[in-house]
Amino acid sequence: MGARSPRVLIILATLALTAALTLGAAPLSLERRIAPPFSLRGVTGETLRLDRLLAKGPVVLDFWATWCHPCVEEIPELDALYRRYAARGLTVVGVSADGPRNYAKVRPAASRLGMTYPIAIDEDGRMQQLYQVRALPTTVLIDTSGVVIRVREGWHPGETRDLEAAIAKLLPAPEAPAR
Amino acid sequence: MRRALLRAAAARATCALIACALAAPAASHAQVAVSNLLVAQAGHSKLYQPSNRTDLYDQFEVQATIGELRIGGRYETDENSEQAYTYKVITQRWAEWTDRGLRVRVGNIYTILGRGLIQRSFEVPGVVLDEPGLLSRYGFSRDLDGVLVEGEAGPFSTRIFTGKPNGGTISPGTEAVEQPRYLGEVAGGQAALAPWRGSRVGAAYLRYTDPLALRQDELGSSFAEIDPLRALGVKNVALPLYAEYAGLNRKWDQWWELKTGDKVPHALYVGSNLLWGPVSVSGEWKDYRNFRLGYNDPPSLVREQSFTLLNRATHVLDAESEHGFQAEASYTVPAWGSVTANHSRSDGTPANRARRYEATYWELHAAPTRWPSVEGTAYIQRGLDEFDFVTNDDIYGGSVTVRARRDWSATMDLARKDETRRPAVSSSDHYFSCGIARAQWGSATLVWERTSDPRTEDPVRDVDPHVDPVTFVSGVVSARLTERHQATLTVGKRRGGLACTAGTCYTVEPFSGAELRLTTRF
Repeated sequence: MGARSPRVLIILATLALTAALTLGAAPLSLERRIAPPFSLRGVTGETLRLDRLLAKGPVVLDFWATWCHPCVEEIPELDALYRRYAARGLTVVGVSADGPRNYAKVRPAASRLGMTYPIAIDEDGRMQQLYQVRALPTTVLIDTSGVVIRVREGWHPGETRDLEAAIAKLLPAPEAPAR
Repeated sequence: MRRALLRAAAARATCALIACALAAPAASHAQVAVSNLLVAQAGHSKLYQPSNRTDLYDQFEVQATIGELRIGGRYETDENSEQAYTYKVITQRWAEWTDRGLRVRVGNIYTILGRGLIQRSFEVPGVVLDEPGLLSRYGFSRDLDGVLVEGEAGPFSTRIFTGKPNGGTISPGTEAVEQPRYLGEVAGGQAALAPWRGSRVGAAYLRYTDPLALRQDELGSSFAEIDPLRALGVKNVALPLYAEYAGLNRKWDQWWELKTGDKVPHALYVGSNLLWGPVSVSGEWKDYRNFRLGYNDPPSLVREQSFTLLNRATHVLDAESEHGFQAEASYTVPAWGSVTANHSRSDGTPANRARRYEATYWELHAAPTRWPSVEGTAYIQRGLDEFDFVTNDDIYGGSVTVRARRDWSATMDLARKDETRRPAVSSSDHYFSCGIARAQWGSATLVWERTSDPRTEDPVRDVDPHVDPVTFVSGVVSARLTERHQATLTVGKRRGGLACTAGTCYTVEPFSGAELRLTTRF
């Protein structure tokens, strides 16, 4: 392909320019902009639609893979976050970047890692492109208005605390226990 | 010549327009997201003359959203000190419109039919390939240049597409001396029905026109996915099953026949899981004959490993002629960790009938909740790969991570491989790495490798059994420079060979020197 279709490219670029000039441009980052909408089929057959998940509360998208060590290390901490805040509306979605070679390993890995949050397989890589994933794990936090609050690439032990602090700011205060 | 100049001018004009679009400030409805990946190398590569060289690869990506419309593009460049096969090209451009159950995409598309037996177009984000033998680096993408339409209504889903496939093995800088990256034409689609949750049945069709071989192929597949236990109302145990069968160039009344055997081109894949409390089992079976198509990606049924020596020793599927199985079982010991066992086997047929790949892998993972600051893994794999003349292959090693003071952690990896290859070559690999990491900052790692594998020094001398051991030492520093910049600097000597990421295997060129990788989200 390359520059084989210059007219198409110029038309697309002109469209982009026109759109930007007429409609305006937000910051040039995934952060602080509206999260791309998606509808995914979970590994157990459920449909995961971003708008429906956001109606319950903030959403964390975790791009992971069965063969990715840091991803696998991060998952128990993410799952602990999910269990802690699910009642207050938090949803965590594990978006598996595994290809056909590893599809059959996704559910056993989730079971072994004790993942209680929903999992979907990004079969055609569309989600990774939408969210500009360049390395695994990548964690995306989206607030209830659909705005991306935070994108983190890679993971080291201790980094889930920052994510928890960001989530806590987005959640309603816990209900006081009834007397 | 004039055409090339026009193309270059058009590319530059397009980039300028995109840059203007990005720079344009105004109201607030359109959203633009920009990211960049830069990989710079300076050092020594013994495979080329002159051996001292530099290389600068850059991948610039932009996406804009206006309501339901999204447009995007990717601009790639590669420059090197030899000025060989350099390029500055817009490698991707696409427009996509989505609305409820409908999606239309024009330009570079990614899609899959079934589990990839007859078609899969995909990319491996972040992976930059060296084209073997040539001085050109490029991002791995096996896309289609065409049109995709997907629709979903209740339990029904469908997708149809047409386009030119990119095999993903040719750099934009070398297609002038090799062959066009996008060659031939595929057109096809898939229809599926999900009668109840967790189940799916469907069929796919594909037609491929090969301009080099002057032929056209027709492929068809059908697949079914079901969890019979779930259908019966069982909740504590899951038994998802998936089966797909694909055939090539059949007559209309033959598409429904499940023919196997050496003389019938076909691909048959069956996979299943059993999930029962702490026990999880996966089993897969494959039978591929004459199904290496170049635009498909059937499951290889060989465990994908991320530990370095295991990852390098993997078997690359030859869908032209293989059948075999993979079984894996894990048992989770609550509050302690897990035990995993895997066995993979592939046999070549019929021309490669005498060849076999077989590996048995055991892994013990300890993550005791009583000592949350320590986590470790020990593993052993024994196998052989007669496709690669390896008659015996033992790999064992382990990894330990220790956490300290909330934000700090240290990791150590150790591994050893002993291999025997025909006719009588024995070699050993040793791997050691230790690193320290701090949350939010990054990590620093020292890697030491030593090998006596003759292929490491010179792939053509692989029959020479007498090679002095070679040592590779490198340091890797990875840092989150700011909220938007992530950098990784590698200094030292890198071993070449096979590497696999996201299920895809490729060759890494040996290199010594410094490599900087910078990811930016603007």
